Amino acid sequence: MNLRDVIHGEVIDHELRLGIGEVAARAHVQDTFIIELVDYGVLEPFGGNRTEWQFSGTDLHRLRRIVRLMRELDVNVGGAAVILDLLEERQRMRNHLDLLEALLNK
Amino acid sequence: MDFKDYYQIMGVARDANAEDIKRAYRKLARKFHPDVSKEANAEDKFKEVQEAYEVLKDPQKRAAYDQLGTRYHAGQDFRPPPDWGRDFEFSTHFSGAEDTGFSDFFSSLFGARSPFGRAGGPGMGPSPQGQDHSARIQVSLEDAYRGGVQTIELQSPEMTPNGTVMVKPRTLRVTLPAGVVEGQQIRLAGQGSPAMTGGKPGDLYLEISFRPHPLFKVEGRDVTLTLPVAPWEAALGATVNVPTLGGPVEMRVPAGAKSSQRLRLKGRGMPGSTPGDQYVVLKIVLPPGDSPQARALYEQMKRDLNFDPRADLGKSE
Repeated sequence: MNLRDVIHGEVIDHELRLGIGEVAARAHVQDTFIIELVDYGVLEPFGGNRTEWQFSGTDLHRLRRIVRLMRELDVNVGGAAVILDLLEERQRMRNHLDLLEALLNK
Repeated sequence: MDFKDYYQIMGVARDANAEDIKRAYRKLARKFHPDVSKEANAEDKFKEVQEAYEVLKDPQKRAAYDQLGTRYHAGQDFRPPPDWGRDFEFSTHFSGAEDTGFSDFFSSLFGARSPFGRAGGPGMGPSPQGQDHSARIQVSLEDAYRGGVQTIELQSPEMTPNGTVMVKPRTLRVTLPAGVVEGQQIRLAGQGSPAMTGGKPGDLYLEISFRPHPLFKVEGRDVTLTLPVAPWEAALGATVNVPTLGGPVEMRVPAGAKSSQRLRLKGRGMPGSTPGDQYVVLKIVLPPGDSPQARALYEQMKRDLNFDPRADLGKSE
């Protein structure tokens, strides 16, 4: 690749919006699996019925992590959902701890 | 290429049974899974363990691997023997697309172009779409604030024409939007693994983390800075210069400000559709009493101020 080529990426954040087909394709899973994760409360799309569902980049990020956890740690949907919640909680606490430690040491 | 001792990687004996191997894998997978583990080299260790398990869990692959016997030890230079894979029935098949992250050693023995990889019926072959990749990148707070083009260096696995995998350094120039924050991802379409058979290449997901900054700490979009102030600035109030990511701004310290008090500069954090705020934590710094003049002033305060910093601790004495 020419080093002068600049690649424009797509930011995966809470402002991104994807339909059910798009979010499934990005994570290489079936639509039915997406529906299952919505039932578990792991993914929280905007919009009323399935055809109107809009998923955020945060949902895509969670989805990709869930798929990895299930496939690589051999856990089921419910187990992976709990792991994901705890990992996110741990990350928030780590960030907060970093901030508090930095303030204490100044 | 180096020989890999899969038994050593999994920490099991050569005569371990299927149950032992499964148990060892589950334990190591929990320990090194990149989403869960905080070990520095978790990603590499996890791949190594996955690769070892891919071989040892499959009776045919394991038997073939065992045939190489104890002739080799870990790290020794290795070439597959010319009769490799002969006399084996290839009823099982490895799921192809996944092996792109594995070692040359694995690919030469069990990869897509090996006798094992060629086996399997229609529909069992490698998935037509290339694999997605993820990489963590560190950016400075200033770059994240401003956005702009970043040059990043990645180690990328690449499939060679003869079916083995090589890790190659790759340089990409990527546009960062202003205001990216930690944990956010940037998806680069088509920058993952190339497809095996004419399908779409995979995507590359860059996960953002911040390089530690000497002044600023960031949580979400909010920035925190510790600001030293003199006792008279805190007591009398003052207008002071405060650094922010967007450049210095003037801030009013209210009279009677206390140490550790937090003041907010609205909208001076990381930019975004809802920009973050900057919090300024005051830290009152005492002038040293090391000159006759300073000592005289402290003496005067001691005499005239009737100040007891421990008044709230109770009157037990």
